[in-house]
Amino acid sequence: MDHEEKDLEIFSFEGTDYKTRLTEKFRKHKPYEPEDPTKITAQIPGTMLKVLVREGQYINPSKLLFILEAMKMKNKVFSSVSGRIKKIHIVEGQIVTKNQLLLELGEPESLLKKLLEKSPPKPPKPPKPPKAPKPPKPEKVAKNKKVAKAAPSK
Amino acid sequence: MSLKRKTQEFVERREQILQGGGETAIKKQQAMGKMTARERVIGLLDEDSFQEYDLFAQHEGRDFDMEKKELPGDGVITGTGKIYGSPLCIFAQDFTVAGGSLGLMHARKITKIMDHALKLKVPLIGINDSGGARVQEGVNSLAGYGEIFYRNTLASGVIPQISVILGPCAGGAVYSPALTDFVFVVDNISKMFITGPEVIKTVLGEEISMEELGGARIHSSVTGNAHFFANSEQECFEQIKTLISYIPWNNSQKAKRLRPRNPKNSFRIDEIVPVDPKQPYDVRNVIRAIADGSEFFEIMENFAQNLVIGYGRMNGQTIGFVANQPIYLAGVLDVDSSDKAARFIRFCDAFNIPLITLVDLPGYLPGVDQEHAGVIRHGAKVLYAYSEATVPRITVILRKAYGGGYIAMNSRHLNADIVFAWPSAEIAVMGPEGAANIIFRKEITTADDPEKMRKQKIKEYKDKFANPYVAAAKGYVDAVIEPGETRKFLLHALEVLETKDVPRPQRKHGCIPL
Repeated sequence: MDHEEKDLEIFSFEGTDYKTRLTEKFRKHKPYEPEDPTKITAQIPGTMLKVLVREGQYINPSKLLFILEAMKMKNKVFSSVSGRIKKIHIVEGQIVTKNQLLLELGEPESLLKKLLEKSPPKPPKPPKPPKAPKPPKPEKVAKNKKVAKAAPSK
Repeated sequence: MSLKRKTQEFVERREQILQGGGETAIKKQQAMGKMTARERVIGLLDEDSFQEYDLFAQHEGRDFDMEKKELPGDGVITGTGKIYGSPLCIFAQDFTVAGGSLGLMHARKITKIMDHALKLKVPLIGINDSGGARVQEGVNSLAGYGEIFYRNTLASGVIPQISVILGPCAGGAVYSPALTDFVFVVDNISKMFITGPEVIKTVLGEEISMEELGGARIHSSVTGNAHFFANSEQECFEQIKTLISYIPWNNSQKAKRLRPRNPKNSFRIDEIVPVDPKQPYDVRNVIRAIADGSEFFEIMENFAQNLVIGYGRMNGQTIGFVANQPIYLAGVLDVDSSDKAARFIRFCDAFNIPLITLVDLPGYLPGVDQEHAGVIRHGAKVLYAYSEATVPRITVILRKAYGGGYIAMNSRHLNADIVFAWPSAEIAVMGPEGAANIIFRKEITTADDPEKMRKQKIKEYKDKFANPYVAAAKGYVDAVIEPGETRKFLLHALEVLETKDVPRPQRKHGCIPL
């Protein structure tokens, strides 16, 4: 045998623990992290030509945020979510790497929620008899998966 | 002028060209730790077997003062030769001549020898060592690449094509090796990439060395672009020769048959595989225990190590072995190992090499990255490759064969010719632990002592299903055999399958999920 006990690890598969080695690729794989809709990151690397929004500003989906020069094109970066800008992490002229954080939103708000806020407030509900408590729902954000869209300009 | 004079003049001209790019350039080549193109051709082929073509080719560059330059052989050596007496065609790019850059004539020499290989139906070996397109020749260089790619594709599945990367091979040039069957790389010498570190830095701002981006180690362990890794050019040549000895000249022939030999006594097949499916072992030792002379020539040794592929011989005949490797990731199938298996199976099928599959896997690897990397599409390639293969296909189920993995590994259901199983085989929809947790969920969760109940149910399931007999009762396993008799049964099966003939419906080609 050309393997020794010491370089074996436990690899769990459908409830069974196998003794085996892990391949380099498997060892290096990153655990999945869901996208954070409050963080807008660069989908391509390039140079930040223009920052068209400012901190504290409220933005809606399809708001033009940046012009990012990449792959010899001036790419328009639009927002696909709405919310108030908490922090802008880049300045004009800066070189941006792929997945670099460009902009952070405060509490994200969906359009739907915003519209609901505009409708007249409902009368306070009478206290209900104790029921099986529902788990608190996480605040919904715009469903669009892409956080920032890049489209070439003219 | 007398014939003697003319001959003398010819000899002088030839000597001049044989010098390649000249002394300074050769010294530079040597300083990089590289052999010259001519040394490589001579070193690889049988002694005195090289017949050169187009030695006097002249380049076609007419702009940027190129017309004033002499480029001996236009930077590439082409011809025919032999390895272990087997004829083949070869080209070797000469980095000492204009950096081995590819211009029109350079490409014409290559396509001419490719056409020749296809006409003669002999293998083609291409030694790549080139700075890329000869920019001065503009679009003619691009045309040259395209014409090479076209021929690589036409020759695919007709003659074996071997690429040897002994220097830079960058940009469009990489696609010729990528279209061939086997790619050989040498540590610190081979460099392959579409865009180099400089471009990546300016465009993307990412810094990386050539070696980390597209060196020999990366391509043989991370990308899967290379099939053989060597520490020196000499070792690489030995690998090429060994490969040539295992494969046929073309798709209408079989590989050369050698004198049969018994496996070495040191590989005792009944002592290699632990009966507990959770314990690992090196499946290559099982192959060595059944192959002639215990010789196994592994391909892609460092890529997707959870699956093993390579050649051995049985009764002197070349066999393609595909085996799950329990010592890595318990032998699971995943994106990389599926690609690795499928491509190998298709090469064997194209070139009349029978396949023996050794099965011991828990299934397809779960995980977000696997799903997002397209394990559905990649995993499908294994099913496709086995199903379409018409060469003899024999399976031996050594131990666990669970779920989709069982189906994929040349099961009876994909029309394997003969499926053997050892008494230690466990053919089931999943492992006992997982199955018990699903089937007996209620009993387990409502029991006074759930853990005790769980163990009891796992045992119940194991006793009933973790064996080869349920599958054998349905005819999914053709024979349960003693491990010690595996070679005997395989030899018999291979003999019986000599006359195998499976007609396939007329079609242009299938549409394998790529």
